[in-house]
Amino acid sequence: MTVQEPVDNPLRVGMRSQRTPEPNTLVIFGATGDLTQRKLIPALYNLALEGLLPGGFSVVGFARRSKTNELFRSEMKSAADQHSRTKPLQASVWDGFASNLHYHQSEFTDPEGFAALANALAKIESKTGACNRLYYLATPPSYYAEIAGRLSEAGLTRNDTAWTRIIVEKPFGRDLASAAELNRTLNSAFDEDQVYRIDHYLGKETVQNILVFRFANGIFEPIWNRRYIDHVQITVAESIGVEGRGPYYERAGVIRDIVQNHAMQLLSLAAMEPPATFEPNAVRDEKVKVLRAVRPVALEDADRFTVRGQYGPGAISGRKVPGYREEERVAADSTTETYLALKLFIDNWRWAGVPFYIRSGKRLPKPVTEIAIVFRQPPLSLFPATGGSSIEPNVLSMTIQPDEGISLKFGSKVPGPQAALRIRPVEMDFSYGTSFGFAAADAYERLLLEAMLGDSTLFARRDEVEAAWAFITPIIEGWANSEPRRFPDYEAGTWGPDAADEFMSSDGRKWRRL
Amino acid sequence: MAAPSEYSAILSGEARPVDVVAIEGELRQLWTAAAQDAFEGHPVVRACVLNLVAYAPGDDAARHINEVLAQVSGRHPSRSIVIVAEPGTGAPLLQAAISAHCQIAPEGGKQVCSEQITLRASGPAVGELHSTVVPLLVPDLPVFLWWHEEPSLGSHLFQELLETSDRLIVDSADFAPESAASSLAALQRLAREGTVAVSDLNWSRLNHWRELVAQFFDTPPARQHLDRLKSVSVEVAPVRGSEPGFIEGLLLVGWLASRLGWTLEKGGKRARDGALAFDLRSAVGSVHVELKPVPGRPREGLLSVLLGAAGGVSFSISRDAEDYACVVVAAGMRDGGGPPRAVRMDLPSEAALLCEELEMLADDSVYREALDEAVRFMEVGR
Repeated sequence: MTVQEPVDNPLRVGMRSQRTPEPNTLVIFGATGDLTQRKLIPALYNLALEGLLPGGFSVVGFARRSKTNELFRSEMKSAADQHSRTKPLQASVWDGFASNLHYHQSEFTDPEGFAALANALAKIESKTGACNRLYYLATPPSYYAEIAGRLSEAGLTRNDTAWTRIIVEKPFGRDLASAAELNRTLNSAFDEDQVYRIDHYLGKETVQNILVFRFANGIFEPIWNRRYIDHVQITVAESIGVEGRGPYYERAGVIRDIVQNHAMQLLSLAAMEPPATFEPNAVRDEKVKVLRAVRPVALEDADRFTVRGQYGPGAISGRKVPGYREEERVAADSTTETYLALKLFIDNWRWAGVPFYIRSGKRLPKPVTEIAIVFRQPPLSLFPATGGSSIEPNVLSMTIQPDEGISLKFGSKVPGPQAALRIRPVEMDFSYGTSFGFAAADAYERLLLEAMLGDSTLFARRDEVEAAWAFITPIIEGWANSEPRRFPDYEAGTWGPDAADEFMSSDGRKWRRL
Repeated sequence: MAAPSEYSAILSGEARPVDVVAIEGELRQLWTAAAQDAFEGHPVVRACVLNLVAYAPGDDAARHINEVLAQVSGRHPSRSIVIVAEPGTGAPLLQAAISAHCQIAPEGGKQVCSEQITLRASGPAVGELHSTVVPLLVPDLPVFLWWHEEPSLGSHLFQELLETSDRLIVDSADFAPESAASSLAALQRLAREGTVAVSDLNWSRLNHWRELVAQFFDTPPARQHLDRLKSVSVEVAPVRGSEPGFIEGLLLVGWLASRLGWTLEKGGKRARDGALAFDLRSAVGSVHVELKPVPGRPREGLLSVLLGAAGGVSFSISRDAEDYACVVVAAGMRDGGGPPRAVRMDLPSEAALLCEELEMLADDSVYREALDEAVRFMEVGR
């Protein structure tokens, strides 16, 4: 049994809040790592604080270092103290939560450690009565296959009377072949509907609002197509550098770190057809269809459809920052890209001929993520160009972060005599912070709860991941045949290499100034 | 037109008297001036997602409403129209003032402002207030009428304002003991007629309690006990002085009775401890319900809820004696339920309750049915 069938609870009728998950035990592999301390434990504590965790909920931290339950609890308390979005910690809530925190020491490769885990779980479950299990792989990806295999060997992947699920963190492979291999391994231990691939972008309120915006409003969908849209720009900009993750980033680059997952998720949400229902598989079916319709880039065309860049030294917010090659544990002659501009086409009836431009990079002037729909110009211009510039196109931009909102740009007459008619673009803004003045829950809180409830809408499905890799892999392979010659090619604190601007201007377009 | 310094004062929350016929024009000028100049270093944005008409019976209530609106505006930017009515006093008088509530948005550093119009009327002018209010409503946005006293169905102003409103908000915790039964029944009639949706802040106070009660029965092992409940015991704190806040407790048991199909057989007030005790019938047997007054600080609402089921099974939620911001939740079942756990449950402020209700646009049929039962309990318990 993998999906929680909602219990027919008459007291839930008309309830303003969501149901709570069934009692369960969460096993975190990599429990002493950064993700657990910065994200998972604070998120779980806040769920407990809000009363959203069920009675009989326990956490087992699984890691290699030797430590007692008490030490583990005390470390987790420090982590929650430091990283919880609500402070200070509420003592009675923390104490209750911590009493159900357990530590299990084992190597990820040790079969005996997993047999002991089975015993530990049985012991906890005999007290709580909760036999549902959720595994969270907060380890380096190189351990995913090992852990899944050991869980399977220990008989911990299935239970006839309760659900068992596994959450996997990105990266899901480093190309199509390795992603498919990882999926095969995971699926040899778990059925696909037990696997929850987490992309924390999907837990963000504004990402979820893309679907509401598109499909709960009648006025946008009729113009959401090639007839009215000139092109789409998706930007995922970061101002930070590699933040001590040099070795990881050297192997990943921006294409694996951001584009293959976050940017492709945004692309599929912006471009998908309306799903038949708002059920997990119906939504994900439509997302996969879009990804499969993306026109493949041939190996030899990789450089024609992309611009790679790498930042050199520069300044961010008035502070000098080193170039990528000067970052800690990064090769002095590294050819890893920290910037990518990419053009793609979706070959279906809705989008045929409409270019989608994706750009993402590190050390850009400011952190901003947005999807901008740039509309076609009117078929005939009645008004003369003024001030040497033509009338700007309408743009609908959906900002995912940091200032979440939706904005529509249109032309308006500048007050003045008719004879000197001037038109200037103005913006009509909707801001989340302005209209809904409260902070949304953290993405991890939302996603952990959804996984416990068995709702996989906000998680990536196997075919979704593989379809994204199927598009991205030939680009990576194509790049291997043509090493970039002029790295670094953009200064930290600028909007990327000049070549990215030329890439757009050669199509008669320009990047939005953000 | 006011000087720039006057606009800054308005944005800081000060009320500025204006001519009643010039209210809209004055507000327009205020926002035009504010948009051209940052206020306290932050760009000013006027936001409005709803109309909130608040009725204040006198100056004290008006001051209180102002404080609450200042807190609510951050979450629900609105056009608030506060009516301060003193019907019985003196010559007809109608005065208006405009003010604003501004808060810095969580992100982006913008100053998000809500506008407030205060209309003060006395004597016969009170009867005509609606004709001033209606043109001031922002078109096509929902209208909430927050009536800050027991709803007076016979009042011309109340009826006129109700006609233009989508939702009426009252607080039955404010109902006087001698009129509580009739006011609750009046609320029930309004809710049943369906011309306006009805909200009771006393019902909103129960949201978290109801959520935790419902949680007990979300799992298959516990769900079976829901049909076999035999007793419900609710402890209530005083609502003011030593008078028990029974209405909140009655709404809770009314909710259980309406959702679980229990029928009231008999009941009344127990002389020895002042508790309300009722016998009800469920599909499988009898259910005994008690609402016990216990000492506490006024306005603490419910103190505990204990549900008993066949076989010695129990479910309890009670205020944590050591940490009053929390409740202890415990399920005593043979087949698990886990150890007791603490959950945060702050006593909600009036602003927080109002915020919850301002999110509701549709009729709340669950409240309506709970209210039906609560009125029945009240009639039997008198």
